[in-house]
Amino acid sequence: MLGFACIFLLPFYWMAISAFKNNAEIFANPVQWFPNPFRWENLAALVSRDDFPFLRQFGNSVFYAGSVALAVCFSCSLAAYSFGCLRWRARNLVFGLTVCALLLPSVVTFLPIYMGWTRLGLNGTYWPLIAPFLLGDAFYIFMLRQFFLGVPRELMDAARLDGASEFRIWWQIVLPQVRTPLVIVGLFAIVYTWNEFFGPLIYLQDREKFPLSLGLFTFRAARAQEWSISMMGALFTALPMVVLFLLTQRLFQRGLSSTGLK
Amino acid sequence: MGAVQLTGVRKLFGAMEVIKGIDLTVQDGELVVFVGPSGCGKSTLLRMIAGLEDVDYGVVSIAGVDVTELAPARRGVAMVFQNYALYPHMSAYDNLAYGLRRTGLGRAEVEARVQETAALLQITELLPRRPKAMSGGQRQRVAIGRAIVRKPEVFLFDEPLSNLDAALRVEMRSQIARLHHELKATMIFVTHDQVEAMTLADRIVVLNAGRVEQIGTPREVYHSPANLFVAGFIGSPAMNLLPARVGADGRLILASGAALDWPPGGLAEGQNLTLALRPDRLALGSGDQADATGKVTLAEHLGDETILHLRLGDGPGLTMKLPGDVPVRVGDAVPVSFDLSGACLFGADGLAVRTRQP
Amino acid sequence: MPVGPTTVGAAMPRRKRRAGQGEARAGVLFALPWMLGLTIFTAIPLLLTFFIAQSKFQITGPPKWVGMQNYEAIFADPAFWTSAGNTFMFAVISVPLKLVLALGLALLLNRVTALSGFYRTVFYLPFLMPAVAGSIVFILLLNPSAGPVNLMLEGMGLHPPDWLRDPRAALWTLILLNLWPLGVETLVFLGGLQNIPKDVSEAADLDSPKGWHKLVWITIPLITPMILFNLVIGIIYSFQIFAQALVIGGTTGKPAEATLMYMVVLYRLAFRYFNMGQAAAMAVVLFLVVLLLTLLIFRTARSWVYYEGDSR
Repeated sequence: MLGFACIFLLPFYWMAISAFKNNAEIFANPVQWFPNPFRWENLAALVSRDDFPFLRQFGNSVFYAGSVALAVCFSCSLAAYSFGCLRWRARNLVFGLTVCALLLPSVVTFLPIYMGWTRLGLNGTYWPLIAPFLLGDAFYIFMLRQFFLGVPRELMDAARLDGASEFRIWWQIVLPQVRTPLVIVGLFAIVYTWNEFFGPLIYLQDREKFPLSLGLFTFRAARAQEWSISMMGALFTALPMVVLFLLTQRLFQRGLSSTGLK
Repeated sequence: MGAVQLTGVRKLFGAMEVIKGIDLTVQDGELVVFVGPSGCGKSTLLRMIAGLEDVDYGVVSIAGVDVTELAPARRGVAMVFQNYALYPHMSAYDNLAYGLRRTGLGRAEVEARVQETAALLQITELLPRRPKAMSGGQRQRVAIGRAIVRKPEVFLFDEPLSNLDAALRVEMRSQIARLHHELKATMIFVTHDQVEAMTLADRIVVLNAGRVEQIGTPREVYHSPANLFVAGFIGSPAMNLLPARVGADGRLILASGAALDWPPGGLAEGQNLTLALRPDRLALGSGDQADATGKVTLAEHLGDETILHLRLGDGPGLTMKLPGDVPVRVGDAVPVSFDLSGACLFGADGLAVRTRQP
Repeated sequence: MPVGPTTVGAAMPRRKRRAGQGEARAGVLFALPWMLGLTIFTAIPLLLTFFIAQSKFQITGPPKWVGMQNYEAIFADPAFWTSAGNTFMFAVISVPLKLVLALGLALLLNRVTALSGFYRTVFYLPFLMPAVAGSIVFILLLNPSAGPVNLMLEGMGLHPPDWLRDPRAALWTLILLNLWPLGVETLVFLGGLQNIPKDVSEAADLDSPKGWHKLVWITIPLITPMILFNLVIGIIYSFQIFAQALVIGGTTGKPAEATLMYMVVLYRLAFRYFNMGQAAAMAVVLFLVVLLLTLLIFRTARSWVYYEGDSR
């Protein structure tokens, strides 16, 4: 068991140590299991390269992931509240459609959307990547709804009797009950968006605007042989998410178990 | 303070009718209890009065105003929920103040009302606390406070005592009775516990499967049940229901052959009826004076009284409630004499035919 | 004081405006942004893709209806068939493999009590890795001469292939890369396993003569909903694999098109050759295939999946 875990961690470990070696050492045979010397200068090289605006792209990733997470938390909590707490005629129908959208391969929708954004002249900006989440996303709505279902109906009835408007009930009574699930959904959104590749690939052209996932790719496409830098870049693309996860583990697991139980 | 009137109220869930045409009036200042087995629709009916469930047919009016289509907050009702439904993230003070603030009351006025209500219920020290930090009974009082503070026309209670332990339940029952007396408020109370119903109510509405079985004071419902259902539901242990036939001489003949005297008048010979007797109307007969003999199947010794379950031949079972401690064991043959004062007769359709006054 | 008609029952009209209407209206309003989103970003594009697939489309000019021409073109394109075959092979191999591995892992994790938190963290971690970063690392790892994987395999006396240059092995590189992030599936299975009531499990222990009986006849059937879930998600995802394929094989699927995946060809058509029509045609074909598979799975699901009663 422990052995298996080690195998699992191997890629991480390899990435980490390669980041601190130079090219020759990476390919050394026999394998060098620990960098010697520990080349901290690789880190400096990473952030100061002209053809890899690392810090800027890091910032872009933060902006991208953060915006999407905020948008998702807001828009999806509206929809999830409607599906999970309110009773209206077409509710089950629309939710059924939402589940269908969940299962829909995105391949079949991205082309017209791309052409639409291009016609609007917004190709090349972050708008196509963030705007859809201002209206919602099937996955997060599904996840959030599970939690909204758990809010006791009595609570909302009491507020209705007290004279609160439906919006106020959402804002003042129900949302405070789902604070943690909202954070969970936000975390998921951050991780998924941080690692998002396809969207940025097709919509962004200016390297200065790339998020890290894309930036790493283009760097490697151009400079395949500069392994140390690539590894260092990969390390710092993955690291923030790893750290985030380690800090919030239990939340992630709660989020996953709420969806897996179908 | 207002009266509540329901006229022809019906409700359907899809094709199923859950409330089947209810007419009733709650007088100003009355405490009416809706009681019935689970699933009879009492909570649904209450929620329809509150506006939390839709009315499909009929009219609900409160204090003379037709509120059937009004939103819950505009009906002048306040409700105490079974699970208290206190806003968990707010202090007791804020819980009480919430509804008031929604109606645009000023800060001073809100403060005054909240303090007044808190004093009445003795929860002033609880005001800064959150529901988490309170016991069940305390939460219950805050929930009641939330209702009182809004000075509604009608108070609605949805099984508020079900979640409390027995001792607390008794205490809260007397608190509610006291409140009713002090506030002189119109209250509608829903419960499945008929002891609560009997002790609290000015009048009881017995419900079954979406219909009203009987409306009356506790005494009326107890002594003069309108039909077999009410007879079997009110009273613990339940009333004994014995099939009987009217004999040639106007006497009642039970399945076991025993013949009982019944005051003459109105009973046709050969009529098939059900005789209903309360368990405390059966006594240990002495030898030849007994009306029947039964074999004991279960004896419950409660200290100040004994409850015996008997079987008459292979006929129906009987429950007897005897005072004191009766030294009887399972399997013993016991002579039973019937005291027919207060007994009721029900026709084949289940409706009351005759009732003897106790 | 009396109000309203005093007639009872059917003589009264059914109420149209109800007290609950506020809630119903709110329900619609709250869901409105999402319904808008569904329409704009899912429903309409779905239909449009079908439409585009039947036209010749340069981004700048107006579309021209060409009927089935695009479909004919892609069916005639060898790259289409190669990539379709590769993708299909990839999906068919990696999805079941992943399910089995994840299930095994979940079973093991369910037993282990010491360090279970640690293990869960470890196994979930790869999922967090961006696809691109992961792929690059794997390239290094699998380097034939200096990568630790090969060196270890050689050390064990095995003859490891040249992962990245041997066309026959290259696909396995992708498969391995995709097997690595087991975390989600494992956790879903773990959740399912832990949902089995303890007394059911103990009853099965009493009833099962051989250890694996319990596994096959009791445990696995009880987690079939999770299997279904992972299966469907796995299929939908694996047929659309892109980022990893792009990193490992570039836009030509080197070596020798062994790693050329369907989505890469699609991407090429749309963004290198600007042939929207054919790209859309490919999208439609993929959609139909995945849809068919998914429906098939759901159809058969009724017979092999254990349902406990939906809360929906």
